[in-house]
Amino acid sequence: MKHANRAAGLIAAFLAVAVALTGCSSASGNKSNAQAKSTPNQLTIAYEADSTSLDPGQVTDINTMNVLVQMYDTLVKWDAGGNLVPSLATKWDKSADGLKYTFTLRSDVKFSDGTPLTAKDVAYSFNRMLQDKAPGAEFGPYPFGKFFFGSVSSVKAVGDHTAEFQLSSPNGGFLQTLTTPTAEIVNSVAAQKVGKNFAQEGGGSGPFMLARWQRGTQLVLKPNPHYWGTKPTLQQISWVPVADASQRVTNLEAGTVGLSISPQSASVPKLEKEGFTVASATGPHTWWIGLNASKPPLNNVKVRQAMNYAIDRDAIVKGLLYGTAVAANQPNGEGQPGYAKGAEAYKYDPAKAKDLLRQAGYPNGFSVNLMVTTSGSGMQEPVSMGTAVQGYLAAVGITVKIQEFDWGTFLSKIGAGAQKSGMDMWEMSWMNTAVDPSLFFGPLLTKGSWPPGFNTGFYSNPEVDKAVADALTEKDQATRMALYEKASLLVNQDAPWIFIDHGKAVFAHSKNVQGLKLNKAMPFLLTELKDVTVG
Amino acid sequence: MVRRSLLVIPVLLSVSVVIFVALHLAPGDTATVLLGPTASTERLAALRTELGLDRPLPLQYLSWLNSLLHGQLGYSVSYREDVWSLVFSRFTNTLLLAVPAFILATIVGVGAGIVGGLRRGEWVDALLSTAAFTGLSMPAFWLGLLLILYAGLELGMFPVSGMQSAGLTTSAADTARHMVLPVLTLAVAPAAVVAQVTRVALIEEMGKLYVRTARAKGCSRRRATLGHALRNTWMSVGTTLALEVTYVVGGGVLVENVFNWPGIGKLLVESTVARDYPAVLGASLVLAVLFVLVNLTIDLLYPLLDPRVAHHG
Repeated sequence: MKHANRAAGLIAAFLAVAVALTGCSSASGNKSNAQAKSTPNQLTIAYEADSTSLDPGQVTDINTMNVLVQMYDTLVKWDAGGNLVPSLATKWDKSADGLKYTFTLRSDVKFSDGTPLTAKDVAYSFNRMLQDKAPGAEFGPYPFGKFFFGSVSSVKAVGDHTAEFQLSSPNGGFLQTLTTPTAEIVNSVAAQKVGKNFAQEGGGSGPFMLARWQRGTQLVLKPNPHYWGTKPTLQQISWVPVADASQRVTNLEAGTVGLSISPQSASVPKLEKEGFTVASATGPHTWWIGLNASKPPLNNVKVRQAMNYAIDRDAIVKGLLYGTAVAANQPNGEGQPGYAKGAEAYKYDPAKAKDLLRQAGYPNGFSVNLMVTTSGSGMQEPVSMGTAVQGYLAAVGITVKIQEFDWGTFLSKIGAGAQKSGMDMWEMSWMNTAVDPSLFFGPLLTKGSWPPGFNTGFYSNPEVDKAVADALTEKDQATRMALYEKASLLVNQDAPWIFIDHGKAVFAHSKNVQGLKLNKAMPFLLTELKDVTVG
Repeated sequence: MVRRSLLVIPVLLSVSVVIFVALHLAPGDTATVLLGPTASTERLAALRTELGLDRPLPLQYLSWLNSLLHGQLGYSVSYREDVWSLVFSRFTNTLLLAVPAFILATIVGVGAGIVGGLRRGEWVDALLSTAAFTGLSMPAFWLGLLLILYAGLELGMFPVSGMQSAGLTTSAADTARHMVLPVLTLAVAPAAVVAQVTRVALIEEMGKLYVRTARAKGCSRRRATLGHALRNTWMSVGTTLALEVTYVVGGGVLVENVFNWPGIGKLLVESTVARDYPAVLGASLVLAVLFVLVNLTIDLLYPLLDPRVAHHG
């Protein structure tokens, strides 16, 4: 008896101490001390996972692409104002039929090993992704090659400084695809020499090169001594994989890293209060709920519009995403090419939603399922967002049954299409790395992309199909964008999706990291990192 | 003894078959995850052919087994690395945590168990038992997070994540500092288990006739306990220690996740999510071999610990 009392007393004492410790909130004074300890012009960055490969042709994740844009160049790039400008190419010509593009290359570019960059490197970088027998094809796979450059049949080197791209069909968005990391030019001599190991070392003409890669621990970049542009102020960049978003916050607070990519959104207000800088910008990302338009009740446009009115997007953006996104009402976000002004905003209006459901013949609502994933690149907070949508729809009489899957399983269901997988609704997001609307509308919203394509919900509007097809062959860029805006307005009215939000690119860093600029067209990629100084 | 050793092979084979089948039962495959939402049926099919995923399952398994017999574990598409070097480096990282945690847990656990057994019923015993129960009830990741918050962030005493500080210079001292918090976290639960088992086994032995005989012959309580009774507890304690090896290596996955330590547990989780079959099979096989060897060692040591246990072949 006596011992039980003693034991109980000890347990109580221990619990009291633990609760007291947990109750104490940390003073912010400690955090700024941590900020101070760093070596000048050496930056440590926490990113979401270890890089998958240093060969740009092989990479499919934005996370690794952030490392690649430091090591490689593309033929053209986005400038600070979001315009397409020369990079490795000084100028380019397009044939009258739009099937041949001729690029003139800079003559002063060298790879990190001192080899000059010539047109044959351009030909190698692309042909290996497009032709099974081309040199380098055996070191694949190159998953995004055909996705971005499917309209290219071959690339030819004419002399050292001219590269000719032969297209099989006109593509108004072709130049834009050349800005993606998949289009980066690799050192063809080095790549062929080391074969499969090129993925571990890389070899580019960009401002930085690989110093050291300890898989799973850190990847360190150092300046490329042969870089053709202005030398970077940063002398070392260490990339540390930290899978957990809240740990990317902790690491920043502890001073282990100077910059965190996509810190946990719930901690953003806290980080700002603690004196860290949170830089963010809207970009070509969209998150939506796909709807199966092939059968009732979701084949009725009034029903789909009703669902859009039923959601309080502002509450989701503020309450679940802590301001790291903006509300969406159409495929592209404001400021993105193809965004249409004057679209229906679908402001939160449950009464209107119920009314539309009545008009559509569903005064008592109905029951549907919703596929939710537990994680996934670009999926933000998929479980809480899915639950929020379920709640909002329940308030207007629609019963939503959620089915949760891991990313791999989820993707395989999406890939099979809504009918085969028996899905009514599903979450999805899209990061349009090439920024051009052709790579968004085409794969997702045209009849030609019905399953087995990526228009999972069987949406079809012939006017949208026509506008998208015309925009592909249209030569004038302004006219192209007008066509996409027209398509966007139609999609906004047809509501094949419940539009939810556009995620922002978010980077948190200590005050001594100065000069960080985000790329206006594609802010998710740190293309201007080399000009940053660490004090 | 020979028969016991030979049993290892069928055990390992069954483990590999079970894991192989379980992996392929899960929807989605390497190609789905690699290509993501932009995958078209044609590109998925092309990638599957390239990766050999369109062959019938038994053929894929036999192909893997065949390369295994030639000393090859295959190539990981998601890590773009040879599976053997991948698994080997991750495994050694795990051992950096597992071995010190095991030693710490054994010393602290056995010590606490002995003290508790000797001082049974006194306040020292109550204190140690309470500590043990508390250690057992705390989830590893919660304890890890607490240590990160207080020892790491507030007090700044130890690094909060990773194996070493970022940058080009590395040192054993730097890695050692990074090891402290994860090793402590990992050692708590095994120490608690070992302590309780030791204590109970010791108390049981101390109640036996031979101990009373020794005391009657003039042996001090301490000598009787430590000299005679303790030796007979090695069977139970030894079995427990073998189980704890399993825990510190395999169960380290939670600790590895909290502390961002690139070990084999983390590799297993990542490659399962990525449906990277060669990596999952390679990592599982290495762990299976370890567990089988540990259990075999304990089996073989039993006669040394207790001569009454006869070998049956």
